[in-house]
Amino acid sequence: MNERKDSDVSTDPFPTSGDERRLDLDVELERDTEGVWTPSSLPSHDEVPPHIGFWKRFRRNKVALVAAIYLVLLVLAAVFAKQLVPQNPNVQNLLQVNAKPSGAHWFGQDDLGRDVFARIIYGARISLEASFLAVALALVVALPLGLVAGFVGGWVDQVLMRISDAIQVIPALVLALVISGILGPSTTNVGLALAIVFAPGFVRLVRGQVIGVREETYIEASRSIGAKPLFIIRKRVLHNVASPLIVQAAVTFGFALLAEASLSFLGLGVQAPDASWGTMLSRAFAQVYEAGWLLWIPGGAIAITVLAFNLIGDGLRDALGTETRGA
Amino acid sequence: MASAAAPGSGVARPLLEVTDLSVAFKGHKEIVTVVDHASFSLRAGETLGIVGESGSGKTVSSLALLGLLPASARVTGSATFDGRQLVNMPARKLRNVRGNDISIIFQEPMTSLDPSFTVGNQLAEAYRNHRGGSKRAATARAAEMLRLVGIPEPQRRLGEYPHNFSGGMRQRVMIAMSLICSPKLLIADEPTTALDVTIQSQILELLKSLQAELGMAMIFVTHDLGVVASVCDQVSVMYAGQVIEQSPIDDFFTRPLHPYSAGLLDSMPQSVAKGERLRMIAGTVPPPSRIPVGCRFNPRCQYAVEACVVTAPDLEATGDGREVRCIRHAELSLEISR
Repeated sequence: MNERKDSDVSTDPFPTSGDERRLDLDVELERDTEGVWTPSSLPSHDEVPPHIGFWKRFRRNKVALVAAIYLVLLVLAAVFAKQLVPQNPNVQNLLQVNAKPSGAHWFGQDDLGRDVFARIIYGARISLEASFLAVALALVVALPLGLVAGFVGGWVDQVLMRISDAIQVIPALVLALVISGILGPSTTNVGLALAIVFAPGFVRLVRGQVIGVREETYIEASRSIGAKPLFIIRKRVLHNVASPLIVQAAVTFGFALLAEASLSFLGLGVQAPDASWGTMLSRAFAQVYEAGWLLWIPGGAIAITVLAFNLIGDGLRDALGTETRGA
Repeated sequence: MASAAAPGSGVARPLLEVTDLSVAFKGHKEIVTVVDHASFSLRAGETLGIVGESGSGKTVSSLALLGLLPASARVTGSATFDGRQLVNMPARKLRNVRGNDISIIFQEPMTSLDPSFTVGNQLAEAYRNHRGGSKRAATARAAEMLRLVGIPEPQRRLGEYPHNFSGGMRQRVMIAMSLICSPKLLIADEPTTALDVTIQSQILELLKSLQAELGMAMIFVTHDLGVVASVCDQVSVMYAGQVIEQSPIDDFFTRPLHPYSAGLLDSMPQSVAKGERLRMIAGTVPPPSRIPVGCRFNPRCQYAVEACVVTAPDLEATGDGREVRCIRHAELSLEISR
């Protein structure tokens, strides 16, 4: 750019127009520059500060708000399933097999006559539990590793990144399948397997953010006033890495739910008679010619919940965007 | 030791004495020396201007004083501050100096504050970092500092985030933060470069009045001779990593000793009559890997003679409290006519 400018000087791309009026510089300079300009009298760039106004911003996104309400209700229902659902999800009623939805059984009854509504609610508990375990575990492992990789750099970074590569080259579902196959079928093991699958992505994200934030002037400024390294990591770095991480966690939660459903569908998750949405889908799939409508219920639950997580991720991204306006 | 120069003891010892400070960076193949045996000193309450073009090593030397250079930098020489040696001081001790005894403000006020915390939070933190105490006391101190740097409604502004502040206001906040522990020395690394001209003069005025009020010494790193003229007592001119002239401010502006200083002064817009072309020094500062033999300025110097290409001149004292690195300084008369 600069070189080009130099060579253009001879051709003078902006010849004087002939308008040689003197700029009234003197007048400008005589203006009182001693007094302090008070920006408080002017409206600030944005009435909502980045974190205090988080809810205000989040609420603006109606879709994300609806998704959040749905998820809160779902979690509450899963936690208080016993109080909420009178039917026992595992009690069979072989006289009413594949019964269509009715007043007594809102979502109908499955191939063993069990109440589908109760199974969906109890299943939510297991599905959410496994997803939560996966995301939480992945975060706990990935956060320190990512910080170390980003901060220390060098061969430590190289080793951590190559391990991440090694994990990420294997398709997620195949890897999860293999790990939970080795560990044996259970909800906890599914969570564990998925944590291993998701951790490298988080490590990469944290590392990338740290590398970006590390060079910020406010880190240097913090060092220049004598802040301790751990303090800088905890306050200056972590808080500025948090926003994208929270968004990523929300979206990953959706993936985890989907993956859990897939593994359960293949019989690697929770074992009968307990049900997660994946196992319900699997059973319904076996009945597809007798009662095809049964597929829609766990399938719909999975689809809606995954969608909700993604929409919340979007909403969080918009609401958490760190403000550096005017910079 | 540190209190040897008690007030009124007559001979004031320099607050900061830098001798033969060198900074080298380990490159891929060779070691590149960016600052070469720089020496300067300043007394309490005094202001030193370090001037030079980009790449002359002025910022690197000031960062070296506080140990803020990356790990690949090798700093040698001596920098005594208040009786303590700053060069290669252990990190733990150095952290006590930073912000407490010596503060630095950078040229980018827009990015020097953490966007995710309130200004009050960051100011209070800077205070508690060295002085401890309760959050409430620190916040009160933060409000006091904001008032001191001329920010109206300090109580309300404490609760706001950096993006609510304009560039000039942010630089005021940075100044407040750097002075919150009442340091003895403030290093200002081109504090006004990123600001509008009108705001520049406000910030300079502010720094001058704060210095009068708080009595700290200042090092002004800048390439703006106008700034030097308005705030500094002493000036050190750096060229290609070396100090080439050191003078009291008045002498420097009327009778520079080094041809490079004269060239700098000559290229100021004020030294040219209206309608005339601005003058300049031909060429650019050589990169640290291609330093010429002999005097480093010789390829660009209109007064260069054969000896200049052969011998590297030393920084010589001229007797009247000035120092210069030029073998011909005695014969040249570089008076500036205005």
